[in-house]
Amino acid sequence: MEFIKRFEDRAPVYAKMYHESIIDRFSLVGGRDEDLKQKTGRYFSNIYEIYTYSALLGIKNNYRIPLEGLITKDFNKIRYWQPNELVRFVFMALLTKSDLNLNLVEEMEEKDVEREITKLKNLLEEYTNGGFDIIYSKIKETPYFFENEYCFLELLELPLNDFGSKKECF
Amino acid sequence: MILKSITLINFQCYFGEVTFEFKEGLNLVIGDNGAGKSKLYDAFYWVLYDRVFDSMTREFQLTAHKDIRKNLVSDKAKAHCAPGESVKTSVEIVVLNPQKGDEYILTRTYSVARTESGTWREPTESVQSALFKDKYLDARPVPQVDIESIRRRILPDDVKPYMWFQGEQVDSLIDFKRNDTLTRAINVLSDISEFDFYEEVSKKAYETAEKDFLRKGRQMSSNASKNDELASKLERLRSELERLEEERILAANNLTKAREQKEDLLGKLEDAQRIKDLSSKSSEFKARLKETDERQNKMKAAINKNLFTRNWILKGTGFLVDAYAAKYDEYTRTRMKKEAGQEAQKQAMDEILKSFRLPVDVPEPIFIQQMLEKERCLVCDREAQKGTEAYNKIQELLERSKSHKQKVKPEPITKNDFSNEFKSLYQNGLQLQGSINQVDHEIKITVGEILELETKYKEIKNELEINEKEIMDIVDVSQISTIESSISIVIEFRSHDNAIIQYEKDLQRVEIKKEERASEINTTEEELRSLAIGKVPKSLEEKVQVLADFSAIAKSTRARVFNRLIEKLEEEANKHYFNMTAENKSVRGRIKLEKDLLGNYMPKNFDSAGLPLSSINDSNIILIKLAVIMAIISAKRSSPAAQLYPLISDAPTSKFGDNYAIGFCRTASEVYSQSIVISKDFYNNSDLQNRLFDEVGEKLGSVYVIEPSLSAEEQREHRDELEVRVTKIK
Repeated sequence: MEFIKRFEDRAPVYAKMYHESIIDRFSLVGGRDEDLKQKTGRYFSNIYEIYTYSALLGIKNNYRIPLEGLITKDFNKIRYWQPNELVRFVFMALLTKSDLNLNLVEEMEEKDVEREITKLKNLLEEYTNGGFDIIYSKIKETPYFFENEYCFLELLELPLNDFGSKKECF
Repeated sequence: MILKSITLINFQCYFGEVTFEFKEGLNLVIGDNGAGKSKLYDAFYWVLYDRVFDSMTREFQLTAHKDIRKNLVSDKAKAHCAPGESVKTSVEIVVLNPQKGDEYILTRTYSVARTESGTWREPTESVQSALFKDKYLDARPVPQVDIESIRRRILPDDVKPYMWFQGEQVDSLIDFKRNDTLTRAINVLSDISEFDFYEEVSKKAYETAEKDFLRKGRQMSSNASKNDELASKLERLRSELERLEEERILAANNLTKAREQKEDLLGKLEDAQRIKDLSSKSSEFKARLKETDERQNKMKAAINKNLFTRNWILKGTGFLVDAYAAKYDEYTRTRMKKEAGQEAQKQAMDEILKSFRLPVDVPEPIFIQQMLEKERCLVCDREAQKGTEAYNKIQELLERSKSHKQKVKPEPITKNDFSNEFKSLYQNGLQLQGSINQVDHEIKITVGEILELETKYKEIKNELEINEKEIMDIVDVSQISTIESSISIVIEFRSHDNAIIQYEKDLQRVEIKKEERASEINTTEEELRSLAIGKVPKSLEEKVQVLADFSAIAKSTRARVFNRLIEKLEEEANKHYFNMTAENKSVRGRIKLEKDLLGNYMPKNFDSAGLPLSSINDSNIILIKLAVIMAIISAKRSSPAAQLYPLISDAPTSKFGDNYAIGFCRTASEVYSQSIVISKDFYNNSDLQNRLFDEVGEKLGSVYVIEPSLSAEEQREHRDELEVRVTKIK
């Protein structure tokens, strides 16, 4: 039984409200035209790129929000995401953040392992949802923040847990 | 005429009623750029001529012009005007004739109405009115038909260009490229035209007397037909001489023009070359700008790409690697404990196995099987019946081998083994830890490089702008619009060069012919005289002689008067030139008015050794022009201009520095009985103001400072709150 492979065979979901406001706005899917990306401020080339970014943003800030309302279900399985070492890093981070006991999972029956993997996928979705919320709040607060090329870099530099009343650390 | 005051009501940026009072001598209105100086000049112009300066067309346009009437009334006054109401602007000047003590009050008004829907109804015409007030009576209206003549009395049209001008007009007032400019100015401002009349009359009188003389000569001729022949030859020769003179004037004209054009192009040629050099420099700047911009964009685009390609996305996530390492450590420890338990079991088994004398698989299992079948130990050749201890020992040898084989494949210590995957995650984290530690440094370097490129971009752009401005400045002065036109300039220059050679030859040829004809005329006249058999009455001969002398005197007097005027003009121009440049020793040479082939004079600049100065700058040229304008006024004291009309000048020294402003004002105060100078040179410069007050002394009239109520930036946003604050400081 392969643990990572099973996780990577899952396709995470995300809140539909962020599809237009964030994903579509900042990603040019399949876009190799760097100039166009630059001009339109659509800095990400794939949905999984902004998804990974948001996941790490949520994880880094210890900020996750359970998914509510409408969700999208047509997202790629994790195994298709690139680059692999970053995807593995995210998985490593999830294992760190989760309460999963690595020794115990090795003693579990297959169905229990499956359940743990689902829990990890849910955790990924919640952190990503948190990351999206950080971006969305920034758009509302300071709309021009995203008008320069450094925006996503600067967002990574924001002080940890600096999200006021919206903070929902576990 | 003394301009006593001007009152502006809601005129352009002047909100409400604002009055400037002036005295004899030098009056100053001081204000910074955008303070309303040019609008004040506009007010003078509008009240007399119904025109204001249009910055788009760079010409004075009538009120009827849509851009003019739209901006004529103060925005602030318009903002205060409710729908359905109207708002009025007006300008009034009071002019005093100091000799008689009479006053003229000239007013122009213009009203716009706000419709209920908020739009503006702007009529195309303003209304002018005038009042006349003599010393003893109250003011009374002047009929409309007489207003025009009052306006001309206040400032005659031909004098206007030399009395009312803006700094940027000085260039065109004295056009160095038109040879007759100075002659025309002298004609306007002196009584030289009277001498032209004497010259013409005396010439005509001489011609009539000569005709009478010749007619009498014919009557007394010994050979009438020969006389007629000679007379007609003489007539033909004279008319040919006249024609040749016309031809000479034409050739001289052509030659002058060709030389002017060549000289004009010579300047353009240098300018064209300079423009070409600057344009190629601009192209270099543009290419560098493009390259820097592309590099900058590429680097900026890479910032977001680097999130994934150089793992910048992991910025500040090193703690996650540490946290996983801790979790993984705990996992491996627990797992090792399990492994240790299994090892201990294995070691115990090994200990048991060690109690056998023979090594594992000795003897080989097939022999052990044979021994069990034969119930005999083939090693020691003793009986080992089934069920005996010996038989069991042999059987154990077989089981020991089996158990050893089983031990080679150890039992899994957990149900699922994810250890390699957890380990790979740990190793991946460790590997990325290296990148994470480098992220901040890499970002710092990249952002630094981008900022460096941005600075470089700004520097190049700045250099490009300076270069382009230099091109535009040359284009403005030289009227060369494109690099391509410089090629045609070179061709044109050569063709003028050839034309000059041709016209010089023509002139030479005509002059030789003229000499020939003059000599022929002399011979023919002598021949005619030799035909006379009696004597022509002495009185007739004397009459011709007297009128010939009179004509010559009139001609030479006119030339002498004109030359004296020119000499005086040159002397005065130099006096003003030195006066204006007194504060700046780095100038200047001496102005010389040079006569050309057609008898016109042109101002030129010569050094102390009498050699023409070739590298005089724009400031010098304008100073020479101002000096000549003032000289035209001051040289001929009999000219009423300096005494009768006030000088009104907006930014006369705008094209040069503070040092010249004092010089100009001081000179103006000496030349004109009244001058109103509108200038920014003295704004916020009390040292310069005090120096001027000291130098001009008693001749200083009123001094006003004008300031806008809003800054330039605020004006853009709140134009409808703008007004001009006027402070009288003297």
